[in-house]
Amino acid sequence: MSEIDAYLRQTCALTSRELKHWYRSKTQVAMALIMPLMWLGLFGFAMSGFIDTSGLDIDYFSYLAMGMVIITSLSTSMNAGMSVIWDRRFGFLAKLKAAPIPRGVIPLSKVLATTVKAAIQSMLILIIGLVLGLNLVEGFGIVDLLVIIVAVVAVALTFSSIFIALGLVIKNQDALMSVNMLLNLPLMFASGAMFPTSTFPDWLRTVANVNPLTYAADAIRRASTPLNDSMLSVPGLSLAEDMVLIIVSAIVVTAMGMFFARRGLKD
Amino acid sequence: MANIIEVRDLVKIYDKEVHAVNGINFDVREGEVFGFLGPNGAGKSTTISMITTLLRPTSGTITLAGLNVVKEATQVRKLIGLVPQDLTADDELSGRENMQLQADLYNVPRDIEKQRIEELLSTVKLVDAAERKVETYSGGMRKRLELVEGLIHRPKVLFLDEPTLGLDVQTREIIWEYIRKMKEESGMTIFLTTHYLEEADSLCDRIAIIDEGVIKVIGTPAELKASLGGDMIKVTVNGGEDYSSVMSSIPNVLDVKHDGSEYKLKTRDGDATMKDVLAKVAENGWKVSAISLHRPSMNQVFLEYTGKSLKDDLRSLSANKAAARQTALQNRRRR
Repeated sequence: MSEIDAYLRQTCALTSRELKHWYRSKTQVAMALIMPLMWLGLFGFAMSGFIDTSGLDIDYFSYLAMGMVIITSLSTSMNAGMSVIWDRRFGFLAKLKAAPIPRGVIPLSKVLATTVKAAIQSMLILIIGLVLGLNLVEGFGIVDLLVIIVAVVAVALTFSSIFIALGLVIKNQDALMSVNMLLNLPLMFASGAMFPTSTFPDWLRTVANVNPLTYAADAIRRASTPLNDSMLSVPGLSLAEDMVLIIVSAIVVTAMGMFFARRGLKD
Repeated sequence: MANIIEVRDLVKIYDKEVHAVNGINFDVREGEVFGFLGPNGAGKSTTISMITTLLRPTSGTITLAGLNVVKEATQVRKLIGLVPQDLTADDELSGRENMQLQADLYNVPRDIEKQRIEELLSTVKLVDAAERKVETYSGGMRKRLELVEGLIHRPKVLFLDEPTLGLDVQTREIIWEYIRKMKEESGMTIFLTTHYLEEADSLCDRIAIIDEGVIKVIGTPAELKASLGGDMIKVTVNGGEDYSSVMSSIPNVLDVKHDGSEYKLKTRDGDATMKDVLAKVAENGWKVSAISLHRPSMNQVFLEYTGKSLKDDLRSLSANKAAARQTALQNRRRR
């Protein structure tokens, strides 16, 4: 029992270290919000005329704003890999490895901290979206808000596990940055987050259908916006089915991420 | 004294090519300050990484306090403290937050952690700066913080990897003072690596000189110096006579050479012989114009056992390393 207490204490200490880094760095929080806001400004307002929204029951800004809530969770998670690289370079990782900590605690605390950051940043985007004119469905309530939070958390768990494991395995900042760049656009666009996948060519829709982000985007739209089912990325699924899919994939991917992260910590 | 660390036939080969550590054997006794002396790239850091569970040996065994370092790594980690060569404290956190983090990681009991953190911070005079972010600390302050971070759980063995690298002379003296104090007060075993000869000489009970992955010699600083043939006394006696035979009759004197009026006496014990020479001077009324005692320095010890001076050694070793890396790369490409 005392062993488990010790592991919990270590996990909390490392998680809170990450969070202190985050909330003390104003630029880090600002940069995380500026990117989705630029998308909202560019696509939501400036270029919304180019996008055919006749099939949507809502304005494109509202459609995109909900997508950006999920995208914020994704990009926060993708950045987590870099912090692993810095910890290695500054010798902090070696110090952790010399301490009596189960190896899994090291990536796990990073995943937890990233998830907290992602959830808060996504909620900030949601609030900013509401201020800028995001239309929520009538009768939007606390359960719908919980659905959004769970979806955001599931996305953060999934992708922070992947990118933290990548950071531990790749070890080199330039290589990791290239991988981030390479994966960023396909993950973002080959999903239902930005555009309805019904507008995609078949091959791209196939890619989008294996992207957990697609289901997360669908789930939060089902919960929050007045959208007809056919305009969702994967029509015919229920909200519950979406949620089960993203929660299961979060659990499976996090477990796999921890496995590879531990391997990356050896030598 | 019991051995707290036992290293047997330890080998580490990187990339199947680079023999960083080449079959070394040594023991560290409980409560001593054991110094690992050698140029950069000699295998010091590789060895310390293997003993502190960070690196798996290619072959050989390490036992620490009776525990197998590879198989019982977690137990070993609880017993050791590591102060790494790099400054690894978290820049974004304050000094006290860094100490608290360390206390949490090592699971220092909650009821004593506050007091221990205060004690340690005050030992290294960081109480006033404790609330400041570490990024505002000077190099010396950071090193002091690193030092007490390694002590938070009262380890049985403290590993100091190049504890004074890159520090100015005053700060170096201060760090040495702390290390001596820690040893006296806690009876903890201290394992340190250094390439500063005077550091090894002034701090260590015993020294191992390592070069090219092999231990060249192990002993107390005095033994190592004595192994070079002991002390030498130079004395210049004015007057026409040859005093060689008188000097040879002094106890402990091994050999007398003279060149004009200057005599060089090799002796087993410099202090005793100095006294005897002065007595002879008084007895015979010699007119002495100069007298001096020369002890072999660690620098000479180093030269003797590595066959080169430290500076040359650094250059040639880094060249060797670069060459080895080059060969390794070429071989990989060929494969």
